[in-house]
Parts: sequence; C-alpha cells; structure tokens
Amino acid sequence: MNVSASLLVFALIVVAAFGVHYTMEIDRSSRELQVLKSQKERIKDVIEKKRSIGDSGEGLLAETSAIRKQKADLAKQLHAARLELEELETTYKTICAKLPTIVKRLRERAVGEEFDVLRTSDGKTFRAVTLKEVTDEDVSILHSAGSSRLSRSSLAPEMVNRFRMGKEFPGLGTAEAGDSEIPMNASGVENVSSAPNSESNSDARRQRIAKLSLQIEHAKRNRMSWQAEAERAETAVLDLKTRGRPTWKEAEAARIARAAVFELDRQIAKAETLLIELGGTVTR
Amino acid sequence: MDFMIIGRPSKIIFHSAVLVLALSGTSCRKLTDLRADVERTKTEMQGLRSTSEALDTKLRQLGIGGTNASALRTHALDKAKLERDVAQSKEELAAVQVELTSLTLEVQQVESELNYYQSGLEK
Repeated sequence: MNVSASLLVFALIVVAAFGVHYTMEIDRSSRELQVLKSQKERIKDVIEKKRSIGDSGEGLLAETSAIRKQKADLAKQLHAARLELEELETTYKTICAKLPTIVKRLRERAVGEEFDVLRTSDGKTFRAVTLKEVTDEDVSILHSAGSSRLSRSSLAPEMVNRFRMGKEFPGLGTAEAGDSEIPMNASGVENVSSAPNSESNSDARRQRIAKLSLQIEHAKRNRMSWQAEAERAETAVLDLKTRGRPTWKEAEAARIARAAVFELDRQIAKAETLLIELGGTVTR
Repeated sequence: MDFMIIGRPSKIIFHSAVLVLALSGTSCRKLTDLRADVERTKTEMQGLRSTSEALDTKLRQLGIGGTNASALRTHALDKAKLERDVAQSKEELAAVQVELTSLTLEVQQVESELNYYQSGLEK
C-alpha cells in the first residue's frame, strides 16, 4: 500500500467519522424538533382554549352588563310607577273624602226647595211640594195635602241621580257615612310588594288580567251612565231653550258628563292596551 | 492487494470515497436544515407564549380564573341571577302598572262624579 492510498483511506475514515457524527446530530436535532413541535401544538391548543373562553367571557360580560342596565332601568320605572301610584292613592282618598260631604251638602241645600207638581213613578201626584229632608233612602216632603215620605224607588230617576241616592261611595258606603274616616286602603289596592313570593307568575298574571278586566267593565258601565246623563242634559238644554228658560244649569251638567265620557274613553283605551299587553282579551 | 492497481486506489475505493462525501454532504445539509427548523420552532413558541400570556392577562381582567369548564361559572351564575331579578322586576312593574291603570280609572270616575255634584252645589 503506497502513501497516497493510505492517505485516501485515512481521509475516508475521517469523512466517515464526520458522517457518523452528523448522523447522530441529525438524530438528536430531529428528536428535539419533534419535542418542540409537540410542545408547540400543546401551546396552540391552550391558546385556542383561552381564546374561546375569553370570547365567551366577553360575550357573557356584555350580556350581563346589558341585563344589569335593563335591571337598573326597570328599577327606575318601578320606582316612578310606585311614586305615581302613591300620589294617585292620595288623590283618590282626597276625592273619596270630598264626595260624600258634597253630596250631603247638596241634599241639605235642597231642603226648602219648592215644586209645583211632583210625580212619583207609581203614579201619585203631589202639589205645592216643599222638600223637607233628603236621605239616601227617601225624601220627605210637605205638600198641599200634608206630608209624605217618598222612598227612593218611587222617585223619578232624575231626582235619584241628582241627590246621588242609593249609590255607595268608594270605601265609605252611603252619603250618611260622609263624615267617617276613610279606610287606609279605600281603593282596594293591594300592597304589591307584600304579595306572597310563592305565588306563581302565571297565577299573578291571571289575577291581574281578571282585576283589570273587571275594572274596565265597571268603567264601561260608568261611561254609559255618563253618556246617558250627557244626552239627557243636552235634551233638557234644547227643551229649556225652546221654552225660553235659562239653560246654563243643564248645559254645565252636559259639559261635565261629556268631559267624563271623553276622559273615561281615554282611560279605558289605555287600560285595554295594558290588558292586551298582559295577554288578556278585550270585549267590545 | 486488490485495491492497488499500479500504485493507485481501485475503483471501489474511489466510488466509496465519492459516496461517503456525498452522504456527508447530504447529512451536513440535512443537519443545517434541522437546526434552522429547531430555531424557527423555538421563535414560534416564543411568540405563542407571548400570545398565551396576553390572553392570561385578558382573562384575569375579565375575572376569569383558569381555562377549565368552571372558569365562566361565576359569570354565568351572575347572569342567571340578574335574569331572575329582571324577570321579577318586570312582574312587579306589571303589577304596579295594573294597579296604576285600575286606580286611574277609579279616580277618573270618582273625579267626574265630584265635578258633577260640586257644580250642582255651586249653582
């Protein structure tokens, strides 16, 4: 073996050694790369999870914030509505307290009033009549033939209506009870906040619908009475006009009755809208 | 000796040398590529870790602890409670509105009567 051949063999050995070294390095780097890639995938998964939770969390917080705002708005509305209800209850109590007194004074003031003729519904006729006393049940009169006590049922409807006979006052009873104290809950309004918690929402809703429906029915009947009164007063105005007598008294009665009809129409429409919102049905 | 022909390496030695050189070259290149891959992956991982830390900060700010299923539990419970509160408030408001409407109707009726009889008294 000559020198060049030896050198060549030596060089081959060196190159082969490098080759082995590289192979080992490649193997090590491959394993390292594999480990890194697997770690990278794990981090990617974690990031994806965090991102998803973050997005959900943001959505949830945005929804929570919107609900919180809605709750605050509702609380404001509720507060305002309760204040309004309190004010209205006070107004109601004040009016309820005034009405019997006014009716009582109206009846007292009528004492001494004179009529040429007074006809009752059962066909009796009294002449030169002077009113002596008006109560909720009857009217005492002096007349050409002596004195009589006429029961409410025997009086003409105009007179019964004029002295508001036989009609109960809200929370008070009849006009004779005018001076008595008004009960705290004259309106019959229940204390909303003290409603039992166990009551289911649907039951409460049904009760509200029933109450409102009843109230609307009552208001409609009342409206019809006012309508009839307005028509009666308007006819009376025409009649008085043709007879050349003063009409202002009946005209005022007609005006008040028309205003009552108008206002009741407005309130009934409002109540019916609420009734529909609550899921109730409106009867025409 | 077989591999000596007139004092020169035989073809086998020559071919072996060429083969070894080629393999070494390939290995060297492969190793360089691998190391570049490793470095690139490390850089990517660094970026991913930064993203992960940024997300951790965001989650902390949102008040979310951890990444497991119960991480959003507190918020979900808050939301559910608020929803119940809102439903209750709506019910209360509906009840008050009914009372209000109902009482307004009553007030209207009594007020009309009051005006009517008061005008009779003033005449």
